[in-house]
Amino acid sequence: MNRSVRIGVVGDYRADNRTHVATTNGLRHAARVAGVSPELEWIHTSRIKPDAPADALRALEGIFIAPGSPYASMDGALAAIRFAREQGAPLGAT
Amino acid sequence: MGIGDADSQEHGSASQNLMVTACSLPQREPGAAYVDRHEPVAIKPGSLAARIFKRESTSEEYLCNYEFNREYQERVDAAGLKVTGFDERGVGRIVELPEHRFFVATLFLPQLTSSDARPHPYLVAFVEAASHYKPKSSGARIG
Repeated sequence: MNRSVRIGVVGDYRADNRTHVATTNGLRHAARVAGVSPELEWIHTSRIKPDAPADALRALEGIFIAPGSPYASMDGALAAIRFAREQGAPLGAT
Repeated sequence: MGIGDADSQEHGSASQNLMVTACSLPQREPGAAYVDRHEPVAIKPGSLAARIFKRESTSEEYLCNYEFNREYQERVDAAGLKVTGFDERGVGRIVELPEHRFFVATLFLPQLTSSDARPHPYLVAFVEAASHYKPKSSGARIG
């Protein structure tokens, strides 16, 4: 059994956005190569409180900022990036 | 960098410090919603990006309307967010924080060229970094 890895994808998911579908698929493909089992969770930017981003992000082992700006909450997206920088959590953004 | 009103042209900001401005690459189709192109990206030797891509240049899928404002690119780099990938005009396409275990952003979309048979090396590197990271506060919350 592969170790599971908790990855939060920060963005305002839309099933009709091909970059969003490709983000989920690409991370799954990458996890297979990395030999881990991905636990992917899309986190809507409005769920990230700018003054308390840890509430939504503290348990994550990787934070991936999805394409698709302008975000519902630009402050939420920026707070997630700042959280990753300050905590040392791996951050990807495309 | 101490630029408190840094902003992007995308959301109609009145800021005098627009660090992200309209993409000047030509549209593939006139009137298209996005600049959608496959373009080369040159990678700075010695960077984390160079270790991820294992080459000095790569060809990547752009899908964008906005890009780095060149007037700020060198200042961003000097402030510590290193610009380590460049398009053919010298506009930044990859940025990274060298002292961070993995803080790498692309201004292209690796996921659009990733497949089950050939996952994109950027996505693999991100997941590998996540697999080696333990959150400081992963324990149960009190209260």
